[in-house]
Amino acid sequence: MQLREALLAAQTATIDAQSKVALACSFEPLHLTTYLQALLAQAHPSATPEVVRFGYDQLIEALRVTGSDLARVPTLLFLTWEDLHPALSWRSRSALSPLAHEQIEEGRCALERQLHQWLSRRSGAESYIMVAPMEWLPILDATSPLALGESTLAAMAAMHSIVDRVAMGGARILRTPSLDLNLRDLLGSGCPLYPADSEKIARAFVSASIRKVERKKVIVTDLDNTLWKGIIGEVGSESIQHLPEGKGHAHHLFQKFLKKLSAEGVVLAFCSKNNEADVIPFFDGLNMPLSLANFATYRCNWATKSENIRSIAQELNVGLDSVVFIDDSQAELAEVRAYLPDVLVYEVPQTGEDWRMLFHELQDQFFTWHVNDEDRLRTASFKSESNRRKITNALDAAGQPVGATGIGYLRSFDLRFTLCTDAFSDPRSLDLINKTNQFNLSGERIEPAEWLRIHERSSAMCWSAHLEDRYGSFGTIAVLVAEKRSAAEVFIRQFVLSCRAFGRGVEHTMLLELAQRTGCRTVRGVFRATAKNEPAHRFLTDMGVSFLDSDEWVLDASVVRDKGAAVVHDTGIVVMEQ
Amino acid sequence: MNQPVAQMSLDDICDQLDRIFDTVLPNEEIPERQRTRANCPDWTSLANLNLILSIEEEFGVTVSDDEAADLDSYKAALQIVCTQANLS
Repeated sequence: MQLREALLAAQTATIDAQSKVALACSFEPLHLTTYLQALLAQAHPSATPEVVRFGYDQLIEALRVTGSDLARVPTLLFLTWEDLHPALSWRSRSALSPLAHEQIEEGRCALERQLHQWLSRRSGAESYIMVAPMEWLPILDATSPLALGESTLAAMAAMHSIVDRVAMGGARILRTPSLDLNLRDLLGSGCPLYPADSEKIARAFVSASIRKVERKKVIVTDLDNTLWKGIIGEVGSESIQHLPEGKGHAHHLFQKFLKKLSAEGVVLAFCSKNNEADVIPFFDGLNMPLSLANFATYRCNWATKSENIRSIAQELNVGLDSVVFIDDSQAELAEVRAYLPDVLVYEVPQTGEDWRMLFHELQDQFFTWHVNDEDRLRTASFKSESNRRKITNALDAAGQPVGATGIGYLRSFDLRFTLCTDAFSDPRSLDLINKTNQFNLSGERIEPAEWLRIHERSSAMCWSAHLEDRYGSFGTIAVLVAEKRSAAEVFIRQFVLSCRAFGRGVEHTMLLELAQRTGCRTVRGVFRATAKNEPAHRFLTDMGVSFLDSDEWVLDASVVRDKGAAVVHDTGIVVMEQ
Repeated sequence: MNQPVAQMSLDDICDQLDRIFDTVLPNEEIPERQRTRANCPDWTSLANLNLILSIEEEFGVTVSDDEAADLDSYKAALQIVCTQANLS
């Protein structure tokens, strides 16, 4: 896109003043702002987010504003070397002479502290960081430009440390192709970027910030020639290769990568055409990065891969479109593609470069802005769920009383429901709304800016629920966003329930609390059918709501109270407030 | 980039320059070819940079620092392009 086209697109954009993105740097982001506004106009033609820019000498102000008033606004922070120390700039008034390591270190500590505070104030909102390339550093050391001097090395180490910390703090590092230093415009206008590079940066930011791919949840991996090199049923457990040397090296790396994803909340399962007796007894004795404990479930049998993957998804209670499958056999991949088109499949790479690409692909598919305790415990949570099912089946077989609601057998689970009536500022609330498909009344995904607007309404409520039972914690499993429209009516804009908590009476308990605490006579809400939210529709139908011509439904609060009270009675669920 | 500037006629160059001025320095009262830094209040340093970059991009020329410093009117812009196109 030529600069003139970008100017034209930016000038004629239909700006939505309620929606913003921020651009923060300590140089003048002249045409970077133009390209960003133009590309946002292309991506959102009817309501283009407004670009709020902070330029020369405004980095501190930018961090303050994007950490407070604009804390929910997607923000790109472009760090340049002078943010570490003013002398690391071609525009510096100081001499071109080496900088002491301590001077750079002082700058690093200050910047790192500011960025740490900034990220914690942004509570997981989309924060992107870019760093100026090394070639932008002025030549300070008495060395050849082809060799790195001490100032350069110290600056690089400091910036590296900062990038590391902010990435751990939840920011996403934005990568673009190499950027040339435009010294003429830096000296003349304070902007070090060529227009073409500005366009590249703006494109990277826009495509990252508008990417709306649903995060996958489960990786199902094959074993032979995938998790390790070799076929265990043929060569035996002692001859397969998985060590960080020789032919097994890439597979060792793959296991380490899966373990990393598992720590970020990705659920692992394996599915292999093998005799279980040839694999399971030896698995933990192989001393690989992954042990059986890292897998929520597995299938080791001779059924087709598609049958096994379907059964794994059912056991874990996730949709097939949340599953990624990796196998070395093109025939197996084709079979899964044919019978389970929603499953995303990857073939085991053959070259080092392809492995690297696969890791990037997987990282993208499972990317999350922040990893919380519930993510880290997800595999354990799925295992607890498996135990609960075994108990439930045993109780069913023993003919346990089920009560009027049909879920009275849950009494022995000691369910504890903790209600939080101020959940707007908990980042998990918006997370759960935006990742829940099945029990989701409206199917609506809410942008951070919109979330902030809802929060600002005085009549708006956001409640969340946390559930525990004798087998462990489910974490935050429900979020309800409602508004008290009058003394008599409550309107539910959104209500989501994690698939992990289906069938435990949480949905009835949540509505019961809503009806009781607001004292309303009528509950009204939104329902929009999606390809996946049949469980939500079924719940509303079971409750006996009246669906109106619009996207709304209405229900007498006395019904909510009666059905909720019956569930609480039968299950013995204990309600507490946070 | 469009047609090489060396192959463009003076009329083509002026038309292209008109379009650049129309986008970078829109002004309904003053015709493009009469615009100067003095009579266009929007001729800021940002607009000046956008003019330079657009001229470079669309004519495939390089504006020197001295030429950039002297760019204060439509005529000056035309002079820069014509010099590089070997038109006078």
